[in-house]
Parts: sequence; C-alpha cells; structure tokens
Amino acid sequence: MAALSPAPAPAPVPVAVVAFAQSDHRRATPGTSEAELLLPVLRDVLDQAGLAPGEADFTCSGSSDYLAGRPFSFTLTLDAVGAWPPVAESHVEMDGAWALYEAWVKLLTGEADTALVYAHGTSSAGSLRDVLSRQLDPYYAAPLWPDSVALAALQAQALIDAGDTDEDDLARIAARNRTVARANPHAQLRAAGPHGDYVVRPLRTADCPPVSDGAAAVVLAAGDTARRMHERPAWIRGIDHRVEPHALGVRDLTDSPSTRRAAERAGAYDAPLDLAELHAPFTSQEVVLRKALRLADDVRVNPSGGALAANPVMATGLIRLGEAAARIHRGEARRALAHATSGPCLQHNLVAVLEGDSA
Amino acid sequence: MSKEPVAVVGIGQTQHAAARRDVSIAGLVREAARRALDDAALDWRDVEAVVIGKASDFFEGVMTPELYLADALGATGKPLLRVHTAGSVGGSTALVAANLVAARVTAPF
Repeated sequence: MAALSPAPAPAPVPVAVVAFAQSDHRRATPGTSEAELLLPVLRDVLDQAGLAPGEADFTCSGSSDYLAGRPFSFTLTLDAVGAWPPVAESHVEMDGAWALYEAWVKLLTGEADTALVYAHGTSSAGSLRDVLSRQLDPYYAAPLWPDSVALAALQAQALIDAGDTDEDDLARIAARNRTVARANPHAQLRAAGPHGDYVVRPLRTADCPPVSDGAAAVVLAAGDTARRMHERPAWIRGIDHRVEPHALGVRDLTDSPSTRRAAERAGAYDAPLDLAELHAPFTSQEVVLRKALRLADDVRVNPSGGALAANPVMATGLIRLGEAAARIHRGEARRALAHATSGPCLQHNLVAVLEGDSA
Repeated sequence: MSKEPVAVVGIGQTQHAAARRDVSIAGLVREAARRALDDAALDWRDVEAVVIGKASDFFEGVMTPELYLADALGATGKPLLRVHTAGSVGGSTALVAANLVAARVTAPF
C-alpha cells in the first residue's frame, strides 16, 4: 500500500482536571443503589467546578454489568446525572480512567470544553475473586475458574523467583500503603495490620486489596475554561494506554512493557516526578510498576494509600487520576504520574502525567 | 482547534447466521476486522488503536471481553477501548474511533 502521509499535528488544546470527588469506600453498601452511591459524589464534583447538572458539554462513565449483576446497568446511573433534556454521553465497560481518556480525546477535538467523568463499582455484590475470573479466555481459561488472587500469586512468585522482591518486602509495601491511608478519610483500610496467613502462596492477607463499594468523579476542562474553574488546574501533559497479550503464558509477568510504552508516550520520563498514584491492587504489582516506571527513590508513591486501602473495582483507576490531580490542586505537588490497570496481572495499563502551572 | 476530517476507508462484516458454531467469539470479530482491512487495503500493523463496541457482557458471558479479544484484533501493544452504550453502541463506537483519529493522539512519534 502507499504510505499514509500524516498531517502536521495541530497545536494541542491544554486540558486539565479541575475537580475530583469520591465516596467513602466501604466493604458493602447494602440497600444503596448505584445512583444513590453516585449522586452525592456528582453533586460534590459539579459544585467544585461551578457546573449545574446537565451543564457539562460531555459526560462519560466507566462501570461493569458483571459487578452490578444486571445488563445495561450504566443506564440507571444516568438518573444521578440528570439526562433530561438529553445530554451528550458515552460509557466504557472499563475502569473510569478510560472514560477520562475518552473525554480527554473529546476535548482535544474541540467538540467540548467541559466533561463530567465518573465511575462506580459495587464489588460486594458477589464473590469478587470468582467474578473476575469471567474476564479470562472463555474457552481455555475461564472454565477452570482461576481466581484473581491465584493469578496475582503466580505473578508474585515469578517476582520472588527473579529476585525482584521477597515476602518481607511485600509486607513493607502493604504496611506503607495502609499507614499513609490514615490521612485519607475516604479509604477503607486506614491502618497497617498483620501480614496475615497465606491466601494463595506467596500472597498473604495484607498483600491483597479490600473488597470495596465506592464511586468517584472528575471534571475536565479545556484552556481558559479550566483556568476559570480552578486557580491551580492539573494539566494533563500526556495520557496513553497499551494492552498486552491475554494469555499469561506468553507474558513476562515480572515486567510491564505496556506500562513502559504508555509512560514514554505520556512523557513520564521527560522530567522528575513529585509523586505517583499507582493502581496496584496487590503488593507485588507495585513492585512491577515501580520497576517499569523507573521511579526514583524520592518519588512519593500512593500518598492516598492506593488500591490496597480502597478498591472499588472500575473506579480505582479513576481515583488514582483524581488523587494525583487533587495534590496539584492543593499545591502539594507540581508534577504527578497517575496509573490505571485492567485485566489479569496488569494486562492493560494507562499512564497519565499531570502538572500544575509553574510557580 | 479546527477538527481534522475523518473518513471511513474500509468496512467488513461477518456472515450472519442464527448461530455461528464454526467460529469462536475471537474468530467472529477477526472475520469482520480482516474483511474491513482487506477492503481498505491495509494490514494489522497499519492500525494505531482499536475500539471495540459491544453491549452487555452477559450476552456472551465474558466480562470485559476486550482483554480476551486483544490478540485476535491485533491490539497488543496498542491502545484498546471498549465502548458500551447499550443499543446505540455501534454508532457510539464509530464516534469514539473518529475522535481518536481527529485528535491524532495515537499517531506514531
């Protein structure tokens, strides 16, 4: 075929996170519908941005029918958004970090100036370990019901065998995340507990995330609109995401080339970082991500406590982006990395770099 | 920013039948994708990002099937998005893909 000749890239519109809100994450929220879980979070985030319900130019959400336990579950959450008169809306059956990516692209095209992005997960409705096994190849893997902890344990053992970590190191990661979560009022686990018994060797209780119900939302805005909405917008300097092959047997589980590629494309290696919010549900996965991202020792990792302190599946990745942005909003960081993941053993990874304006 | 014009350059669809027992789910989507690439005189490596549209995961009983379908759609090493807007998902998926091209976010360095 003839070579395609790419047009010169147009000057990018700067897009920023201008507001972030989240629920208090809980082990279970019986009697609360998804719309009821979301409504206070959406009200909070819109108030921060100074937007009325329905005023955002675009709305995009991330959630899972398998967690809600019914098909087309996202349509019910639109009651919390207010979709009359009709709004421009889209939904990904993925973590809300990818809903943010879709909204970011929409703002880059110039079709929208503001976007509401939200995500929620009610992980408590079933046995999460077993539910997540339904993500696997339906012919060769899913019939064996390999659960999410067992697959993460394979990865952890591979890391130990490669000399990348050991059980004491994993215990320290668990303790550090949950100790710093004490300062996060939304977190579910806010104190370091014992490393615990093996759940699936070599992973112990403290190496595994809690099962959480929760929701989160952000508002994105472009250019001068962002500057009007926040005195310190968290500008998105780059976002990229990459997926790896599905079969675990063809991947090196001690490495994350998709994270590295996404980080290169997002500009993560171009300048030093102040902090990183990593979506690592298992302690061993923080080891993989730190290595792939080549994080310097002085980078604060997961000051929120990360996914080990609260893990509302489908919102956990969006919360990483929101937490990183909120540190910039509060003037506690100038350049932050946020990461989100999807699939068994970090199959699909998204990296964003957020920056405040220079002082 | 002026919006980049975006065109459809290839289309493909599977042979429709009451039950396609001759192919897996991955085989079915690959059949449509291969035909679209052939129609456009393109190959897998010419594609910079993959967007899958599908309604509820309960139809096939596979949660977030884009993870399992990544290999069949030549998506490994690329951005992969899974859109679910219920019955409108076919149209929404095209909109998301068109915006990706218009914004040029996945173009090679």
